Amino acid sequence: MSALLVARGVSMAFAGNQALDAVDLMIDEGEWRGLIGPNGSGKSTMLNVLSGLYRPQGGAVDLDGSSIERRRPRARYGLGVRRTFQHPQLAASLTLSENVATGLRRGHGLTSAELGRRVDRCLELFGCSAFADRLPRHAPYGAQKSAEVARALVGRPKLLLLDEPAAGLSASERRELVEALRECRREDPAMAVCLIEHDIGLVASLCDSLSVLSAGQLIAEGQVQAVLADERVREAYLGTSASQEAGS
Amino acid sequence: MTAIDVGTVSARPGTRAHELRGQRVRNAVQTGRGLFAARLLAMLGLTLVTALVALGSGPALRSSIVVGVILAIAVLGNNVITGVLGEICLSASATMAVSAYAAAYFLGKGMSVELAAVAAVALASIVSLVIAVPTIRLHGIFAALATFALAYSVPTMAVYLKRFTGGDNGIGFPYPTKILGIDVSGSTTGAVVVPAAAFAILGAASLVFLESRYGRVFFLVGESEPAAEAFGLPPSVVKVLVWTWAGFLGSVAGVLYALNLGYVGPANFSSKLGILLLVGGVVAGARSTWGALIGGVLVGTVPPQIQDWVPATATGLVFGIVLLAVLASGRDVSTWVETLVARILLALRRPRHGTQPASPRERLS
Repeated sequence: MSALLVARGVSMAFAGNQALDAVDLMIDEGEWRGLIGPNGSGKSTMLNVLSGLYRPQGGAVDLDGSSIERRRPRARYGLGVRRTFQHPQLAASLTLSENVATGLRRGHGLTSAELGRRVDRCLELFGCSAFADRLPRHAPYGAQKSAEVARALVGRPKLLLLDEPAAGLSASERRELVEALRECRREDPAMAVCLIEHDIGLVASLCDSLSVLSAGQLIAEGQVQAVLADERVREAYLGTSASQEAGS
Repeated sequence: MTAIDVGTVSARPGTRAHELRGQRVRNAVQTGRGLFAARLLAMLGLTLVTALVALGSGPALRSSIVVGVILAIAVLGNNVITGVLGEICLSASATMAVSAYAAAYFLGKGMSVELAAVAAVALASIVSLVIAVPTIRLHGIFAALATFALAYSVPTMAVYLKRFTGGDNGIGFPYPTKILGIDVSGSTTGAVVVPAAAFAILGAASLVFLESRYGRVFFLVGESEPAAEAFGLPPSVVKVLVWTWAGFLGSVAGVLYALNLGYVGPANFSSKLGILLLVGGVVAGARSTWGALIGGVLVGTVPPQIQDWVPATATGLVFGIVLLAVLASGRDVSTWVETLVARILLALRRPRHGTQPASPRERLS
């Protein structure tokens, strides 16, 4: 496998607060990488840098060997980068089906019928078919989150950036999401994914590898089990969770 | 998802198609999108009725309806900005002023009416495009204030640019004016037909656009800019296009206004007109093309007409109370009417036997 995304020494600060401090991240074609860390560790900032919403103050980001750190989000869209948002960013005046369709352009060489079929397929895969003709405000939160993922996937991206897709979902909705994402992987094995998620079980069940951020720094990366066993990770992230669980 | 064209499928009560139709009606009422044929017919029908009422009225009412229909074209432009981008535009009167003054100036220089009208609309549209570039960087109250500044400064500027505008006295031109051989001045038949036809054509164009896939992505820009950018759309370009289209509509209204009056002066385009055009659009329905006609009539026709019933000094107060009453109802006029029509239609299609999960009232609540 060749490296699809290479981020080197990415740095980003907001009003003196170092959100990212020389972070490296490399994702191969077809690789599913989990990006985990405590709240405020810089995960979403990293995702915003990768998707182009933020321009890094230092470092470089290459996609398929081309430098993209200065390119705008829509240029990265053209290169096959898609993303979801932590809080669903769906257009309130469009139905879920129409929102998913905005993930495709005529530039994809699809006829209207093909476009419709692909949208329907994505909605079905993520269990939103029943709400396809509803406006986001009339659909359950889980359907809104799933429609966000479906919109990102409908254009068959090279690199998919998922920002907490399971946040706010019930246990059964999480299971359905995992199954749908696995099916997507079977259909498109070349697609690379960077997944931010607090549900470690979900990340472990989907991802091949993990990168762990803490206070804006990369503290560990590698195979899932090896990373989860890492002492620094347990202390920085899992340890916090464990103490919280013990406290509750 | 089963793709069902609600226009062609026989939706018997209790069937999936019937439920889907109800859902689509509800979506359409709440978003101002969908049910294209019904909306187009409503807009064309209302325009025709307005024109017929004007033609059957005396000169005074007819003149005020003509002004109402002309202002409805400017409201249509305002509505695109308010309805699609969610921004407040108070500068429609300024755009009208630019095109009206330009038309008057060109006519005064001996240009034909048709050429002067096209040149004035083109000039004012270009001005709108240029102004849109910095305006789109502003949001909310700041965008509103910037457009208000424009609405306030253009008539003032007209006073100082005496050489082109005639200053306080304004400028006249050969009157009555005929466009394509049709007299559009005062309260003539042409003065009713031409603005009504212009509103129908421009309203239909707006409707076609907003219902298209391009309109769909424009809504995404207005309602979720980060998502729009992440999904390959250039929000700045989309916004400039929306503001320019609104400017074009305002320009058309300005030219028709000037040709109808035969005179252009700073008092015709005060900042108050800009505020009233926004209020008319919002009260009548910022996402409705037929609502734009109601809005234009509210602003252009109602105030002079209520002077017959109340003292001239109190007309502003009465007009304000009418607007407040509509706003206090929590719904704009077009949403109120569309909800009522949808309830009636859904009630008529309820099954007589078997169970129906929800009443039309519940489905539209």
